[in-house]
Amino acid sequence: MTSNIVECHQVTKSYGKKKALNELTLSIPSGRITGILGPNGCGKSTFFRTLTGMVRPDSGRIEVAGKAPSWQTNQDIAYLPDRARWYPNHTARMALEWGNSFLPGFSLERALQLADYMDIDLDMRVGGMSRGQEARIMLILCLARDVQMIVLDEPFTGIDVISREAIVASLIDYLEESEQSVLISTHDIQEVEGLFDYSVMMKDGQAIWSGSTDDLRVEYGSLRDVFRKMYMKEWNK
Amino acid sequence: MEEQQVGSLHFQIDFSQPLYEQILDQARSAIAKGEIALGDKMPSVRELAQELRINPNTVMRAYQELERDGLTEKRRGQGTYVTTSPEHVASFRTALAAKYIDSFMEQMESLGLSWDDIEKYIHQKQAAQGGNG
Amino acid sequence: MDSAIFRNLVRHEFKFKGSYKKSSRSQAAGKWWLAYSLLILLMLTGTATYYAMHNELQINSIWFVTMGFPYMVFFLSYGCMKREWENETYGWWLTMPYPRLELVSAKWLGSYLKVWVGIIAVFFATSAYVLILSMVLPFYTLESVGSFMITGINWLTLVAGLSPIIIALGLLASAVQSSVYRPISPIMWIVFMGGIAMIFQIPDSAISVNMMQQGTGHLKAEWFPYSWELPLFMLLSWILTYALLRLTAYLLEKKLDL
Repeated sequence: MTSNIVECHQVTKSYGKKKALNELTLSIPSGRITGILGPNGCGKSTFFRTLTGMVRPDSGRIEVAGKAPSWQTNQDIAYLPDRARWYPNHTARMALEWGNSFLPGFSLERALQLADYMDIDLDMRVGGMSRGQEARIMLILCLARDVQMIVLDEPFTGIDVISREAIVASLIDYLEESEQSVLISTHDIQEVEGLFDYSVMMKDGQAIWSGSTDDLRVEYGSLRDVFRKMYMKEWNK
Repeated sequence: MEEQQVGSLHFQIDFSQPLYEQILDQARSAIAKGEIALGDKMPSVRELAQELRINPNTVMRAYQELERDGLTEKRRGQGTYVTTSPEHVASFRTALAAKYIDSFMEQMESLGLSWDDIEKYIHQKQAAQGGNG
Repeated sequence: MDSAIFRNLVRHEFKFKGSYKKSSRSQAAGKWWLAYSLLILLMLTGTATYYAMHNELQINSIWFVTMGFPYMVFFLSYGCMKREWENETYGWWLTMPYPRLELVSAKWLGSYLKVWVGIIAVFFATSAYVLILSMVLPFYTLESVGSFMITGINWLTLVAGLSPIIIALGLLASAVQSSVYRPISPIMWIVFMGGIAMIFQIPDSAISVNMMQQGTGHLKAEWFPYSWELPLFMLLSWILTYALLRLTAYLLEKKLDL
């Protein structure tokens, strides 16, 4: 039986006159690695924020694993916020201990393994790190958890190539072992398009295409081509 | 599109085509051609996924299909190995050849060609390639 | 409420310092900040010592500095939540799977502990300073040191007792700014700032005239110079504190504007 981890029905969220989500209707199957793709400002982050209950939609219905999002449901979600930073006074070790204290399903042992794999100096202060190093720590906080769903909002943005590769590599390792549902949003599919086995293309607060990524390839070619075709207007701006 | 070597296997992944079929097809032909020897260990799912930067679930599905083909076998706790039986590979090759012939014939028939015509074309091709085979 | 989680949350808030915005990210900036603080402290002590040497320092009036404490407490707690936004860590903080009241209360208690650390440090540092003065300068007696310390405790009791509600107001002010009620922020700031100014303007009802005069050295310090309304006033403020924390938690849960 295949069930859906996320169900959205006509979800709308406006900021002033702009509709960040415009009657978004969408189903995301569980146990897949889903790419939420689209240019900046297409509603990806707002969509993720509604999944974690931080943002409440003006109208419509959302279910995550059959429940309406709230702080309670975040117990089962590992969420990497968009443009997030980490507490500058923490060392890497303190960050991992923070995860161990507060995040349900967190394994410190696994986190330390990942830190070792991603080449993190545990005694370094986050305030003195590069964006890439900081991004790796934040990703570890998500990947060291045994939870139903992992939601990563733009994990590849603004970081160096080496960190990006380290992150992709540990994602692949991680995904191999787990049966979790993973949602990753990105506006830049280079190097990562092979990761997604399910894709959602978003535009102006709506899902304009969703389905298995291989089906998308049959229909439109590579994700990069899809980007070029579907978002022509945005690219030319 | 660049060629990537994973263990003794070569892959050429084109992101504008379905990935699952590419991995399956390229692994199948590597085994059928003997690029990877009988009884050899296949790259692990993780290794292949890492090298090709693709979703491990996709690799896993392709590996399951190879196993159903009889081309590989899983050994508990050790990984996936190419079958040790030449018969399995031979019969798979025969089956695949039959499949290719079928689609070839279908296309030829759609051109309205007779058996004789087809035979003639094949001989011409053979002659052009220097008569080997 | 899981008490181990709450304890850890409070510890996290208590240790929480630093900001990407203010200190830039380098440690050198932190050192400059420290250097300037020391310089200011040195100047203050120097000035006080100068006047003390000319027998012109009413030592008890040192405690008038506590009048600035409520504002410092307010900005301490305001910053404690505001920094989650400034540092862009609010996504982590808000998606913690715990009741909003627990998150807010942890910030409240973390701030209150910081206030206590400050109160104790100020009390002992100034007492030690005055004690040294009394030993070096003949004008000041040990008795005046005792009087100074009692006056200090009287003033600081006021700070400690009223900090709970001030901290809650600081947290509420920060939460309102991140909520759909952001437009009322300016009005709220005027009301809060004015309200804090009032705290030391209520000597007639809550604080006895005595206490204000003790500061000027005309009277010998006495214990508990307050009128009976003060404990009642504090008790009421504590109840109100709880209500404010509930309100802040409600804003974070239902009225966030991200």
